[in-house]
Amino acid sequence: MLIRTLGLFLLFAIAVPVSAQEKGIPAAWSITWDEDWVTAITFVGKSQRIIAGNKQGRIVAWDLPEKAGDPLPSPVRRFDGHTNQITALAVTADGRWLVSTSYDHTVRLWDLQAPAKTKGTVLLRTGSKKKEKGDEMPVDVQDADKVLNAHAEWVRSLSLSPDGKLLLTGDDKGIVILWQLPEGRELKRITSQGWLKAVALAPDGKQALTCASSVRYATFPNSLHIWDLATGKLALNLGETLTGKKKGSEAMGVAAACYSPDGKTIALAQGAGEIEGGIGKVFLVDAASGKKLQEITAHQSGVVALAFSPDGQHIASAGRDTLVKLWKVADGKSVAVLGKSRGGQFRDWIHAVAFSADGAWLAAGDMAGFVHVFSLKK
Amino acid sequence: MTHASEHLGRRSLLKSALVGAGGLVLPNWGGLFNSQTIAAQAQRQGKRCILLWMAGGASHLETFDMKSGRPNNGVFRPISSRVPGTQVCEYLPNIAQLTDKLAIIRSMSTNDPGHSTGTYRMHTGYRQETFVRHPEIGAMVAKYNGSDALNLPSFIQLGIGGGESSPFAGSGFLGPAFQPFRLGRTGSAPENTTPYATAESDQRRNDLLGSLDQRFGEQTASPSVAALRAAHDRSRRLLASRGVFDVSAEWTRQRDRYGDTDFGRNCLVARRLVEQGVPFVEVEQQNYDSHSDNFEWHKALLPTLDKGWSGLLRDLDERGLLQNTLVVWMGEFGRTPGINNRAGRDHYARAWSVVLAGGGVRGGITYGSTDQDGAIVRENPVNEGDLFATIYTTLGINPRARHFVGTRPIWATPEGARPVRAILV
Repeated sequence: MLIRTLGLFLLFAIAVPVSAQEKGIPAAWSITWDEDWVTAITFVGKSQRIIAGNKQGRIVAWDLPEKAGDPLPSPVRRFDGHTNQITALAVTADGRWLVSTSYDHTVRLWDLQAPAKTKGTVLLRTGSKKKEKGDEMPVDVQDADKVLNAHAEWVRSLSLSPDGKLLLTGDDKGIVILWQLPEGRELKRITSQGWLKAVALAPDGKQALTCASSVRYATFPNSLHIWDLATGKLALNLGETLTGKKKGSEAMGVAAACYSPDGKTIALAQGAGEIEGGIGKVFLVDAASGKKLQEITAHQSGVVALAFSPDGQHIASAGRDTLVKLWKVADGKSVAVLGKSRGGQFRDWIHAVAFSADGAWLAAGDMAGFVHVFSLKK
Repeated sequence: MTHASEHLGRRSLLKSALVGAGGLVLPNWGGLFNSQTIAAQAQRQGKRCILLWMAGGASHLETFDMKSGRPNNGVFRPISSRVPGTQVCEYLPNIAQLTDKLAIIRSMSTNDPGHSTGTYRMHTGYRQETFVRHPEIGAMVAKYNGSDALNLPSFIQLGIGGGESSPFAGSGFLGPAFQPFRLGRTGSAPENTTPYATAESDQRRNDLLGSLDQRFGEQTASPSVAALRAAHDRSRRLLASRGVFDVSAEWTRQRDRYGDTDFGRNCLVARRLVEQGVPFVEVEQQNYDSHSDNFEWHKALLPTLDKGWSGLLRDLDERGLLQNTLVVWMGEFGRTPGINNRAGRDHYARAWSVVLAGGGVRGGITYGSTDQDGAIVRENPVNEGDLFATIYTTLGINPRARHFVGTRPIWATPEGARPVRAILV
């Protein structure tokens, strides 16, 4: 199914002329929600369920219809507890555990198979300025099963191992914690430096990538480090291998990072807007050597989010130019553009992207409060 | 002792009168008639002022006027402070412990959202005009609280970056004697102030130059020669005192208190300067103009501010200097209540915050308030004139001190400006 889907997708991509690609493939659904930034998004296992989090700390799940063109999905569940912006969401491959990280300094675990204890509502807005048109939809409400309080600053990033037994989280004090799931037991702690905007756990669970960056004049330099989790020692300084400069002080500002499913390739999203001077590149890097494989000029004014397709052949990037783009990993060529540029000063940038387990869908959340779902089945 | 810009010399006065008769603007000749008395009064009080200037405009919503639970609230959270009921941003934990020394004005309303014009307004107390260049607060304090016996300049600016905050007004119509002595990012004395001759050789050279100047002055009968000589003498006195800018010996034990940043270091230099008798020092922290990534910028900047500012207040307090030193925290405006779609906040002058501490003001006070979103002032509005009247009052300067530009009278603060009595001791 997966191979067939991606094959069809590639055929479509080849058949579509470049000019048409730049106009972008429209979303199958654009779900309005809360009129606040959608900051994190994930699919649930092999299901059609998506879960998104926003700047207010709210988390909501929707069940997608079977095919594009079906009615707009409605919310089904609300996850209560966070008190500040959700920074990342992930679900274990078996669909059992949802993990969330937040600016409220906590990591929360949610058993998705547990019955909801209460009922509540989710406020959906039309996206218009007339907020009175907002509509409250009834949903199940669930509290977190575990609240992990080991971080003392904003928890910016998380990464799950493929088997769902290991979790990596990073915070703004430069602390990286490796957790055992579902117990939520701390296994390892690495003290790095700076705001860890991205962490990524190697699929074999042996190494961890940490990416620290800030605005100019912060009191710490950017860094891109790969750590040996057995020893807690620095294994590779990507700041040095990519720039050729010692100490890594010239490392680019990276807003997102992930390992390919086979663990051989690392994708880095360069660009935090004005911090990087408007650059928005995707770098594909050999995970063993730290050598650059591809340098893709991807988005104007910063790349914000990345996700590998489940088969590892493609990577999706989302940027401040309000677009989602798909790239072929082998050669870095553009495959498709999703959505459309809204122009102006790159308003409503896309904060988060996620592939469904079969690669047939891609979900993206933007600053205007929309959850966009794109069908890749063509 | 008089200041050169007041034109107290006979030739100077005559020259000014002639220029005025020709229809040109006369700088401040009215200062002749009342400023000496005011200056003498102010000097007796020995008041000093340190201005912490937040270039670009710090967000009131991310510092002293947070709006928890509102849709326009950011991602920072308020924390309790030393004063019950007063909350400040979580990234100002050291300042939170000093709120008993702060007078927080949450009701600034200045209606000038431009960097250049806002900087001018919040440095002079006046709206920018075409034909009059008003003096900055530093020049005013230098004029009234400065002393010619001081080897150092009376108006010193540290860490001034220009950029979005330029142009500053400088000494305006008070004349060149009150121009600021500006140092760059690190606050160190300029490289070219390092003596290249021995003290003995330097003295011989100076004596020779002095005799030549004197002879030339007698021949030309020009006041410019005397002014040049005075400037030269002040430069030499400054060179003799340049050690005050070198904090290296003290930095080791003060680094943790002030924070290991340029701003922290400059705050320490400011303390050393007021300790030496400098009446006005301005320390700038840049990059608050957060049209994009407002929270990232403030998160990067506030810890630096917190350490530097709190270190300064504690240090001044421990040395017994705080009671006579007013520390002002402000920028040219606040930032918009609404968050734009670049995660930024734009310029906003209708409602914002300024904080005073130290000499002449009551601590533990929050004055004025804004509405639930921080968009408009709800009670006790304070404009720039009121603020400057408050500051001048604490420093012993009459807010109604009158100067003349040509025949036009200009007061220290605009017509109608009133000190905020509620925060004065």
